[in-house]
Amino acid sequence: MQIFTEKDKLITVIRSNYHLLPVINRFGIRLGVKDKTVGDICREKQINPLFFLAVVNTFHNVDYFPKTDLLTVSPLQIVAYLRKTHQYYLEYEVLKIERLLEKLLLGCPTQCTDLKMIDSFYRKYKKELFLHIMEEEEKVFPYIISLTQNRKRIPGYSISSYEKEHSDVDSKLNDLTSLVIKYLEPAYNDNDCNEFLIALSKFERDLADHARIEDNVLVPLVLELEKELGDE
Amino acid sequence: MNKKILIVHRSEMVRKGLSAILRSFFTAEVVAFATPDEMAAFSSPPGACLLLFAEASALPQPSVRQRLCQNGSLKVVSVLLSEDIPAGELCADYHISLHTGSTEIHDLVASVFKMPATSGANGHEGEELTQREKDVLKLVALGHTNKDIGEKLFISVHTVISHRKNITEKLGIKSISGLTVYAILNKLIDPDLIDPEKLI
Ligand SMILES: [Fe+2]
Ligand SMILES: [Fe+2]
Repeated sequence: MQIFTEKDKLITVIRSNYHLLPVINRFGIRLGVKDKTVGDICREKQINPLFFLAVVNTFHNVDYFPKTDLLTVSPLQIVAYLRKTHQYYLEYEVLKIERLLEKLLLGCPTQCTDLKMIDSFYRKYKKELFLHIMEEEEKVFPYIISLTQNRKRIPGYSISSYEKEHSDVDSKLNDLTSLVIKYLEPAYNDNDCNEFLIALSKFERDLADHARIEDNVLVPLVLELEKELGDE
Repeated sequence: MNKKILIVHRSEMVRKGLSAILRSFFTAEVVAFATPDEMAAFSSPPGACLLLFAEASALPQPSVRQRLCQNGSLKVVSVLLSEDIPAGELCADYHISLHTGSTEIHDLVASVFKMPATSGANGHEGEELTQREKDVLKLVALGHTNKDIGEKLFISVHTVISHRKNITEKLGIKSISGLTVYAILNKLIDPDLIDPEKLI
């Protein structure tokens, strides 16, 4: 397992795992990193290095999750990061997968009932994911921001009403990947399908990481804050 | 699943060092004891997945192993003083020495705990569905409720739920729409008879 520290150069981080690029972008860091270290760039961009490293390291290592470190980060910073992640999903990742799926369908010479099913499944999933993200963007995050800034409970609202629903978004994507791998009929283009599947599993992992931060860091932090502020 | 790492070693340096290495990698709880007697007070939660690091003199007897196991699982790593493995070392599943690097320790723990990648690694995945399970799956795919399915197949709702649990375990597919796609792809239901768009 490779755990990055403040002393590591950004180029080392990026070269170790190119999938970290969009993660780094979410902090407003872009290429042209010269020989700057993680510490340098965090100071320059006024990013909490503890949070940056926790996010980068958990993304890089599935088994690593420094919950105690993360629980010291302000909910506002976490929300800002999660929002950037949503934006990345909606504006790029989801559309990319859709394009790849379309290409896969176009390249299929036969009736392709199976691919059409996969396509319907994906489109339905997409709708659900959008709804989930909208709910967070329009209700949950504004609630958290107002709670943190005004330090006052809002009558009739608690984060606990929002805790339950992640498993569904997660398991559907997992189902989709398994269905493609296990039951696809042979009439498809190898390269198109591989590209689609790789993009899908990359997205699956990104989402799981995102949900893990929401469930295990953001929610406990807000629960703690709610307790501190007392009853509604 | 509940994962715990136990350490039994007289040396405080080893206990603290090993805990620090493990904690830097894993979120699983690490509990350290100086002697096997101290560990006697430890009771594992039922079904937990345990990994015990012990020095040679503290390797657990079969009775202790059984007590710790508690219908979960237990793997034992023997912590040796040097790299040569003493002959007749039988009670441990793995060995490390004081020279083992942290990456190797990490890899060992990760493989014991079989960190879930994406699909859940459970014992039934890949098993074939029984005819009854196929009947239930077909009705689930067609959008029927558990109560409906029970009435149609003359079984209790409770039985329907237990069939559904087995189906999900065997197929590794959790969502209803995922099961529907499965049923169509595997020709359990005929896509010509229904509109798949509506079903999924
Ligand atoms: Fe989210
Ligand atoms: Fe979410």
